[in-house]
Amino acid sequence: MKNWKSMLATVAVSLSVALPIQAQWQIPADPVAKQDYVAKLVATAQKPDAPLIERHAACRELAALGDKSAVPALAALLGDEKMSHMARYGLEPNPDPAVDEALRAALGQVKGKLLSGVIDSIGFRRDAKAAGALAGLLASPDADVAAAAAASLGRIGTAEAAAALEKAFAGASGEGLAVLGDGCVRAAGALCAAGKCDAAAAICDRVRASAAPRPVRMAATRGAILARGNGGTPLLIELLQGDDAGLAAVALRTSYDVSAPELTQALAGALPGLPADRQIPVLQALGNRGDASAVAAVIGLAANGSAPAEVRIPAIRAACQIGSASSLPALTELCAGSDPAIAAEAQAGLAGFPGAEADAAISKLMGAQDSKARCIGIDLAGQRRMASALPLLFKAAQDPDKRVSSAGYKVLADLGGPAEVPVLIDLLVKSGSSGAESALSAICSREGEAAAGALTGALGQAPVPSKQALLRVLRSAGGPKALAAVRGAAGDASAEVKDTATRVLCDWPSADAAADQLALAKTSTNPTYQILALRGYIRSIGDPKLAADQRQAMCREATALVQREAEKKLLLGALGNGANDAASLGIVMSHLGDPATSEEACVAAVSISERLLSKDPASVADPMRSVLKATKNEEILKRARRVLAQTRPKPASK
Amino acid sequence: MKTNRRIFLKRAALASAAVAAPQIVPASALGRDGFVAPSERIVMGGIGIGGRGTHDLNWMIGEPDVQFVAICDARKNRREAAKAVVDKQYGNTDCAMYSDIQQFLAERTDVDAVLIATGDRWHAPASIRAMEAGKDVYCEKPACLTMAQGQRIVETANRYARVFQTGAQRLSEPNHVFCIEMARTGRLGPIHTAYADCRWRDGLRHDWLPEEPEPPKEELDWDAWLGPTPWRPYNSGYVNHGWYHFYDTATDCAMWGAHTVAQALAGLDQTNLTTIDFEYSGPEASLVTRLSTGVKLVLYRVPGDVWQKCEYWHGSCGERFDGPKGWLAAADGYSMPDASSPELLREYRKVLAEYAARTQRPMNHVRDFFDCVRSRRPTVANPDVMYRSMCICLAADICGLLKRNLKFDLLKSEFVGDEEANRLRSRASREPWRV
Repeated sequence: MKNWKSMLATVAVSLSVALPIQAQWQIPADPVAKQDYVAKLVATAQKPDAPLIERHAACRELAALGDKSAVPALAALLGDEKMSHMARYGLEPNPDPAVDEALRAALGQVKGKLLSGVIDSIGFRRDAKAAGALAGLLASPDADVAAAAAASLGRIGTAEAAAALEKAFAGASGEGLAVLGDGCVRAAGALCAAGKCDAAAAICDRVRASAAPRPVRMAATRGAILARGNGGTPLLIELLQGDDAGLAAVALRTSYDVSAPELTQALAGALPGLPADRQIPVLQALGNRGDASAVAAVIGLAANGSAPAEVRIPAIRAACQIGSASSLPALTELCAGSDPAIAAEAQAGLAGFPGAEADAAISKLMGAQDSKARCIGIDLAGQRRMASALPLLFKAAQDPDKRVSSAGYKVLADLGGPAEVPVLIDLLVKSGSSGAESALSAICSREGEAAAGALTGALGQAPVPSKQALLRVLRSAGGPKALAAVRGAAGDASAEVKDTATRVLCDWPSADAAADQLALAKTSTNPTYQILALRGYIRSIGDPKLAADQRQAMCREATALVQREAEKKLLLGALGNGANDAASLGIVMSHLGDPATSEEACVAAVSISERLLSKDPASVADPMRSVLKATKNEEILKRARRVLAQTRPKPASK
Repeated sequence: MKTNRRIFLKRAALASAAVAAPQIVPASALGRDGFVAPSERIVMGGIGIGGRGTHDLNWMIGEPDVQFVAICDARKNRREAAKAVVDKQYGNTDCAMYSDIQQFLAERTDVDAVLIATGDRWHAPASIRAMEAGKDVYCEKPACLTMAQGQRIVETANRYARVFQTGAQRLSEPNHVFCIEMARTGRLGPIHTAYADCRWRDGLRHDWLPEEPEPPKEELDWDAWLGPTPWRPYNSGYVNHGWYHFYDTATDCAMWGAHTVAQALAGLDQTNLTTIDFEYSGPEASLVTRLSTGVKLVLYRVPGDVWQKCEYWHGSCGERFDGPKGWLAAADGYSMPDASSPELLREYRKVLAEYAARTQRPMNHVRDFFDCVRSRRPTVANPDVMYRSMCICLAADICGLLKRNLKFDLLKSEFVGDEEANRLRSRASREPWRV
């Protein structure tokens, strides 16, 4: 990205010196003025002593604007080495028939590459009246002229053009076979589009049976298949079954251009008889067609345990792409099978398989006898986000097999909402399951305070271990109601509950508990609580909802309490993340001289200075100079230099 | 195409397994350490490998079933630099160099496919020549300078049964695919507005740079470099990226639209899409277009560069879909799409799984190309996808050039009732080059 930006800037500078040119594309809306504008363009184009750039520019605009009056002037330039192309540029898109007449007339007047150009323009315009003249040029000793004539006749594509091409092709050799063969195939396409598909097929058959270069014969092969309509299917299948891999590739590619259901049937019918390495692309083609009539053949291969995995895998993919419910029983069986590659493929396919039938099949899998299959079903229900599977997930969560239970809770954590909270609380209280606690925490962290009511309601009656778990979940829910409940539990009669509540307060995710944390840090007699509370308090400084003055006040409180290196680093991190004032910068700078915290101080100082720069540039200059001396971190040095540079007064603009 | 072409169907086994899950490439196709036998690899050549081309080359060359054997470039220094990349990869000096595209295509019958990353003026001519020589083509965007060129790419790919991929790689990136699928499947409700990033710069120049002496032909063949575009005197500024700024060699809205409009279209229901109205509102303003389906497609343009944060996304090459149930946007550099509600993002995995099952395409654009080279399936950014999106981009350019409202018929590929606009759908090729 940087390279692009600098490159474009460099180029803009290097291109700034250019030849002058009159304003262009200022087309008047008024018809009379426009006529005058066009007349001026025509005059400029044909003016021999005008700068070439201006003559070219006039032709460029005449491409859009030139009328019949422009034709003679531009036609007169077709033999001019320097103007011929731009004359055609101006003429080629002009729909006036006078252009065709002028270009046809030029065929007998210009030579060499200029003639090739004129022929190309005639081809672009598909001027059928030029077919005879172009036919004569197919035998030109100038190979490029002959090639241009062949291409243009192909584009014209009338019966006359096709006949001329075929005649020349029949006697061609060497390079002529390529250009004439290509012309024939092009013309055949045009003939078929005009309803003459039998003639087109005959032309293509002759080219594909010729000694033309292989790409041309392959093009003819495609043409031969398509020109026959549904009648081309046998040829397509024959090529697919044949020895020539290149032609089989053409058949396959062509199959993507034919949507007829008959071809689906033919491909599916051919599938069993093909060698394994040809079954693969046919399966891919069948999958892409999405035609359910092929599903039996496809799923049959997928389920065939004696077929190689290289075939079974694309068969599974094709079945999933077709998306027919009839393949679901086989796919669900495969996804719990013993071959890991096959099972993984079936699972990936079922994860995205369309329709409610797939949900039903997966629900069935969740109730399978085999616990491995149940786990797979649960995982798939999660991937598909199957709300209909929630009752089954609760059942799975209580499964005696721990893998199943754990998988059930994992998916409940992802899919559950407020409605699932009471049920999970019941499960938590009854079983004390860590899975239930995790699921509840995940849901509550998403749903926030909406889930807190159910948790606090359950708190009073819950046994101690469950109460501890619910307190931890309340931290995930957050909000005033949850915090009040935790505060209350911090005075609980049970030492275990009290300990958990205190730790949850210390670890509260927002600054709402900052006052509790500060009090604990200052007054607790338990050194562990003191440290945990101080750390929590410092983390709270980073709460983005805090006002600047609140943050500064908290920084001051924390600075006074911090004694250990670990908390100093935490504090510097918190300041670096949020502070944007000179006082905080001062606190940070006081840690710069301590080798244990110098690097963290440098990072924080630069971060604060970047935010402070716009409102108080003077206050950051000296700190940045100190940072430049104190750190060797390249990234920090770069940022500090950038900040420092912006503190310097800018020179007055000229 | 050569008669002894390696049996592509053997490769199909590899492609089949590589779709979306390259780690399960079967042992029968891979040697030890994931090495693919040379006889099974897709043989590649590079045409016009500069900055973007080197990016693509490095991307492609890392695929285990690909072998680059030749580089073709009109510029000597570029040829040599690209050869150095290839030779370094393979630890030899085997990569051949060509300065002439016709010679390269005629001689290297062993090459199956080509990477085309020339300047934009050569994208279509090179693609067409390569496909006529029997090569499959991965071509950088924009694939064409005119609608006529785009149409010729479609015709040639069809006629020669070739696989073509335009380098709209965001069609194969998860964040973009997620947004597209969410819009396409109606999860945002019926989309009423889509946005595509079309910022680039302020129009195109029509002037010539001062003439400089042409370098020796072996260093740079100026005539070949210009190809089918109008002649102009040599100036080194053109070849050193300056061509981006000139009407004859580049496009305007289409330059960046080629990066984004295909994604915007992919998220919209195009079943009954027939016409598109362009509302001209000045050179620096967004171009509002109205699809016949009732959807507003905004080709987003403001002064400034494409990397600046804007009101719709905060990276380059963004697209956004707005519906009654919310909006989603993605651009370069996103870890996740932007969404009107986090709830929309909860379906991320599910939506991508559905896309994978429905399309069986990998989230890797060049891998999709190579898989399709093997299977012969049209790519995710196939000629039709390229053509439709480029028609919209190029119609926007014509709208800007003529400075008036236009209506474009997507089925007929023509402007409705505006002959001048229709005439700008093509540009005559400079002899002896034909497109």
